[in-house]
Amino acid sequence: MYAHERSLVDEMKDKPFALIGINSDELEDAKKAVEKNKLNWRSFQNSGEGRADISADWFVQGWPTIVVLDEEGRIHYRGHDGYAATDIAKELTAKLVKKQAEQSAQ
Amino acid sequence: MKCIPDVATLLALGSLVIAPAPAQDGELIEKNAATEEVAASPGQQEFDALQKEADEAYREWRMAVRKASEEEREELFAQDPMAPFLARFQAGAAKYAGQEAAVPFLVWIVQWGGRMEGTAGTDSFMTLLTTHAKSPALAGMASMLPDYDHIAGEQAPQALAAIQTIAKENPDKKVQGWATFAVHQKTLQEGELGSEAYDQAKAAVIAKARVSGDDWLVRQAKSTIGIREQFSIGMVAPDIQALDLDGVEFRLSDYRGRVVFVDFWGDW
Repeated sequence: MYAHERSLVDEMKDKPFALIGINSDELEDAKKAVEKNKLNWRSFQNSGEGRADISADWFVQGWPTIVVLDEEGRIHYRGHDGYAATDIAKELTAKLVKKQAEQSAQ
Repeated sequence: MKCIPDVATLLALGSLVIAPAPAQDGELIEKNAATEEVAASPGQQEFDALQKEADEAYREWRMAVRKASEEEREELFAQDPMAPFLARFQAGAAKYAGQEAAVPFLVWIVQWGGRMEGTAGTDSFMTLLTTHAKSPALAGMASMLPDYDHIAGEQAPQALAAIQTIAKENPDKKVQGWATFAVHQKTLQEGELGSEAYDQAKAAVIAKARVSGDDWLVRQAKSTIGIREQFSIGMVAPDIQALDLDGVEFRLSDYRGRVVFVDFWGDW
């Protein structure tokens, strides 16, 4: 999936879109993976002191899990299919771009 | 006459055996008794010997994979080390057909045969659900019950009907729990929140999971309910506030105004 996600981030970099990771590795391993695979998105550390894992709060049972949110944080997709999630995210972004263009034209 | 114990001694022995164990040992003693009872049957002994052989073959295959070159590894992955055992487990199931002793053989076939060519996995699954609905040994495959539609294929409606019976009539609390979860899973995933059907399904699953003694079932049930109630399509996802990989704190809501692709990932 790295290549897919990397090119998605590249393709969408001038659009109102963000890919945010939640990484479950040991911090050092995560950093190595980012460097080695030239990963171009920001990630939360899944585990942290004094709080539950983010994956537990989000009831994640399998990896990868992808959740696609619109500009107001509403869920449009939750599942394990990166390609389906990508299609939905692109469609939502295109709609948002159009809406923003219409608003700025008024 | 001396070597034959009198009635009083028998009663005393009996009362020793049935005397309630201290609370913390109760569970352990119950388990031991169950194991002994099963180990006494010749069918179980045959099963144990065959399973030991299969486990050994699997261990050897895994060792070979670990030592293999990349090319050899591909060849090893193309083989199923368990495939040669299928016919032997099937023979065991056939020998004890209809009896309790068939159950462990059938469970093995569901667990391993499901990945092999043919209908062995599906057939054994259906036999377990219909012929052995009251067997406590279904516990060995209880966590597969929620996958019934996948395992049973075209026979999914019959499988569901059988699982509904199992949820009520199987004596094992773990089997009851997984069967109840399997029966209500679709309602929990897709039912209307606040509807009577959803509330009843939720109450039934929570009640049965709680007494099942199986933490995994409790987690699965909580997760299914949590996803439906907090992460359904159209709901606003909860915010996240945590550190990034450089140790800088940020929030998911910092990205409001954009479409966000939230990706739970790991490098494995």
